[in-house]
Amino acid sequence: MSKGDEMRSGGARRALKNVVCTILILAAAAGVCFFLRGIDGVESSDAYVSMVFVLAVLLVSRFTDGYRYGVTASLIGVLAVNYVFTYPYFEFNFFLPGYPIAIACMLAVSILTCTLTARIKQQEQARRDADREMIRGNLLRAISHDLRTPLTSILGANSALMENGDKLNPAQRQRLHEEIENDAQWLIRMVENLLTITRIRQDQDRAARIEKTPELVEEVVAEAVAKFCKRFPEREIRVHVPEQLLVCPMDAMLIEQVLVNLLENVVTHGENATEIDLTAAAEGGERAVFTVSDNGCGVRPELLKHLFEDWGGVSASAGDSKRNMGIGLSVCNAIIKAHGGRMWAKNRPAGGLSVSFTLPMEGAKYGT
Amino acid sequence: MGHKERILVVEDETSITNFISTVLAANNFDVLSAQNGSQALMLASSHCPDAIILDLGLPDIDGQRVIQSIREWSEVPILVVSARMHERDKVAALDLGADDYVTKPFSTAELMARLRTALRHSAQRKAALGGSAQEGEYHCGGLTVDYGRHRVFLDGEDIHLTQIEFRILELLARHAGRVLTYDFMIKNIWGPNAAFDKQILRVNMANIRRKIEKNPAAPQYLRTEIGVGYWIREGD
Repeated sequence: MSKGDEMRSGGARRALKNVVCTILILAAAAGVCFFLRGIDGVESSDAYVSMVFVLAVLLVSRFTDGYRYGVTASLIGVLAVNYVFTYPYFEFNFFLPGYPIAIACMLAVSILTCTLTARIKQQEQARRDADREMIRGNLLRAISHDLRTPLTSILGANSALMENGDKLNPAQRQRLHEEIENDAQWLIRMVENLLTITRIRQDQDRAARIEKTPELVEEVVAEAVAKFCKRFPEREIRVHVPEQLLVCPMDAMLIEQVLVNLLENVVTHGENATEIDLTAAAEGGERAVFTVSDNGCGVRPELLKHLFEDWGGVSASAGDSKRNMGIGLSVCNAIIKAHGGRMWAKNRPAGGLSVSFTLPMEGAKYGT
Repeated sequence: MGHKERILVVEDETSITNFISTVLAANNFDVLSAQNGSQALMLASSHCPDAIILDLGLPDIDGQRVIQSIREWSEVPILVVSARMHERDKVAALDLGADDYVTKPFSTAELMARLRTALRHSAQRKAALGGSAQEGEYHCGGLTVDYGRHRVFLDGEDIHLTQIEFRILELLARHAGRVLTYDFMIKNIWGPNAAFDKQILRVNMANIRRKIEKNPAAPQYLRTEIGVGYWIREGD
């Protein structure tokens, strides 16, 4: 349950994986040697046995983490070659003429191989870290850029009220108050999106990880709609869910955020949109499809495929006009991907945009 | 002017205390404020406030501990205000005995509405101690739950619910406007030793929704608080 336990069990699992990997590769090498010796006879085996084991050690150090397993494998390899595959068979003999040198060479080759592969892995890791840093940097840049505009307007409106409040008429004052309110609301939504990002953790393999529990689709949809209606009471949404119970494993808060983001995008970016539809349906018993569609202006076709691009891409092109869109949608995409689903958008033939995403469904139905 | 209700505001951020106090005073409440947990416990016992607005992130004692200590001797409504977003924290606070919670940032209108609900509930609880709680009805829009006769009516039409479904609906209706955690509901319906997860509760809720809501995906009465529990709209 606690993080520490999780880490420990994760570590144990990795160690087990490494050990199994090492044993399998060494066993395969030994198997190959026995097989070849069965064909060629005992005498000629000296020619290839060492080579096969060096290859095995190389594979071990490639497919396990750190030096430990590679070095252990090379030691085992050296001993196995000595014990099993060189005269006298099934007996240790370290005093054969020239043999100590052969052993030393094999050990050295093995250790060097380990070192090199380990170094390559470290470099890969460093490069991935650098990539992540870059994405994070771009995200932070995009956010701080996006935050500046509403903050400026809040500060400005407030100081206008404080310094010139008595010279303004009530309607003007009211408008300034409303602006402050709107921008504060916008900041809240932004912060909520950022908070959802922190819920997606990254595990050791750099894969996004979330805490999924089986949830009823209709409950999540209903809550997202309720949240949206609270913010935009004047907008009407047609909601449709199937009569049957749909259950998807998910982090419900994240999926709710996705739905709210999609609905809000209709309001903030779907010009002339008067109708909003939200439907959820089962697709072949394996996944649920959620669709948010409107009858607004749609999206220019050339922008359509860049809608869900990572923060890195969006930050370069985000102008003041499309604030929140970039981060909102890429957050949605990241959330859906982390759930093992897919997200896409298309313009409807009748006009307007429709954004859909899928979530894998649980095979077993609960109940009775 | 009658008796002013006294509210204790426990919050370490002065700017937030300031605006909450201003709004409370403007709404004709008496305001006490505490900056930390120990001060809050002291004021709560010495002044017996009618309700407490409590921030969970306090400098000295954890807010959850404050709820716990107050609940040892008092049933005063506690309204939790917190920037902690995770459902876990909400569930923990509710299960410890908090009446409701508001997540920062919140609007003053929302805060006042929740506070009034909490105060009304506490008054109802006190009244219920005197009279019999078995009888009575819950009304909200077209929905009526008759506790005494075990009947549910929707727009005048008799709705058939199974026994478990009725008990769930009754439990929600008796705490209308308040979020009930999954755990609380399961213990109340199936007994304290109920050894199953919330899935059975959810199936029952889905069935009730299908019986009393026109569109289960846009419910009028039954609401879900994701990861926390369920609540029903406050009666008229």
